[in-house]
Amino acid sequence: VKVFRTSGHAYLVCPRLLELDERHGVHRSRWPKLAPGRHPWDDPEHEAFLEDSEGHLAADFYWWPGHLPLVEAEWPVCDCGRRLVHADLDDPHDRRHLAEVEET
Amino acid sequence: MPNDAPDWVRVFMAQLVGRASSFTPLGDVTSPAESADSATETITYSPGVIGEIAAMASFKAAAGSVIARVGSVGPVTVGTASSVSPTFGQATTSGHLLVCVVGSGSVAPTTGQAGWSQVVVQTGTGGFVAIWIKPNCGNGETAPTFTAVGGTAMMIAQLVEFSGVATASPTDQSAVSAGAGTSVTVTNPAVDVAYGDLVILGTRWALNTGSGATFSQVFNNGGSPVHAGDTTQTLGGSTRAQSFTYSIIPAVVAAQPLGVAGWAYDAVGVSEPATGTNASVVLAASPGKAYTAAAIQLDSGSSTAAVQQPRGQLVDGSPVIWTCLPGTPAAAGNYTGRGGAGYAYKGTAGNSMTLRTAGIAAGGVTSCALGAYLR
Repeated sequence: VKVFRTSGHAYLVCPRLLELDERHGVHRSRWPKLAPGRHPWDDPEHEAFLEDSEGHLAADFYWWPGHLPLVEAEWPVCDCGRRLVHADLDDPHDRRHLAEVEET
Repeated sequence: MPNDAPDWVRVFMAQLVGRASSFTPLGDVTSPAESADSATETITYSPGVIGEIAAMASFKAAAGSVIARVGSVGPVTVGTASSVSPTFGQATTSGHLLVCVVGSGSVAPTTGQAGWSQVVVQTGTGGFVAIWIKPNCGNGETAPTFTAVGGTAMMIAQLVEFSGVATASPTDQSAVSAGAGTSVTVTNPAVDVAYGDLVILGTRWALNTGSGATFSQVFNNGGSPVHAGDTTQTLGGSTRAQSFTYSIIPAVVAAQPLGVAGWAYDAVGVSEPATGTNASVVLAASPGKAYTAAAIQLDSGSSTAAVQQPRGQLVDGSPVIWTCLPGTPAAAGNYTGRGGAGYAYKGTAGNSMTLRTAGIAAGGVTSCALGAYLR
């Protein structure tokens, strides 16, 4: 059985978001820094406002050593029916994060 | 959470998990320290103590049961140097656990009564002290007679009946101790996680000649001592005291006010996507362990319209196990928050846990955060 051998944080998004604006594929932690005193939901002035007009889904997926990759039934699915895809941060499918262990 | 996450996210999550700047790595190391059952008995006796021995044993509750003492304890019974016949406090009831703390001098106590077995015995200054039991007893049992053929000091015994104890193999752990002072401590060998256990303590003391020893006991793991009985006796120039105490470890050791986290969560996550996108935190499954969502935070709002806010959903693997309907803010620019600490939504062992929003309106913004235990 495959398990994670690392700690990781993946950013998964509905593929429709990437069609609307590629910047939806960038996790907020890597957006341009917010100016002090600004409301966190006010996007930086020098960037065009990033908005999802259709209400799709993004997911922050966290794992730790010994944990299991998501099975198909657990993988996040957007209300629009699309299966989320890895867009940023750690790739949960990357073999560097995974180890094969014997099932006990 | 990434190290370069916005400050407000760090502050928010720090508040959520009650920690200032860092988050606890996953694992059980942050849980309250469990400890092995332990008991200390102290004697008050002015003529002085020569030495003492102690035996302790713990017993498991039957599935779904709570252990309780039945009726009255039997009388502390003083026998001869070779025999003692304690009696029950009342006729026994089938399925119960019968316990006898029995002591003797120079020869270990034993009995031929059917169904009785010795759990633990200690020998040293003062002779022998042992804990004998009969699990899953019958109605109207005949009390056992204990013998110590060739013994040189008086035998003492006391019987107590308990309900709710496992009827097969009830013994959890046992331990012994000895000393030469006015207190003795005995500790089980392994860390105890089975709250609800019955812990029996039997001691026997060799004393300078006199009478009227008194005893006090302290148990750990939240157990209150119940002193079943004791006696101080002199026979042939030897003064011996014997004491029987038990404690039933509470199933809940400490209650905390709602909203107070006892210890840092094993896993935390936060999600705050762009305007108009539903947020989701997904915590990966761990084999054999179940998440319990303890801190749930959902924030949403809209700067453009007073619209219905997205609902929150807690997902155990794939089924939704909890839904939150936050309502509609009174006006554009208002934000709603739902959640806090003190929840206890338990998932299934081996499942991931997800907190997400659904049904966000155009122009709405939302974020969610989840703190969970993994045990």
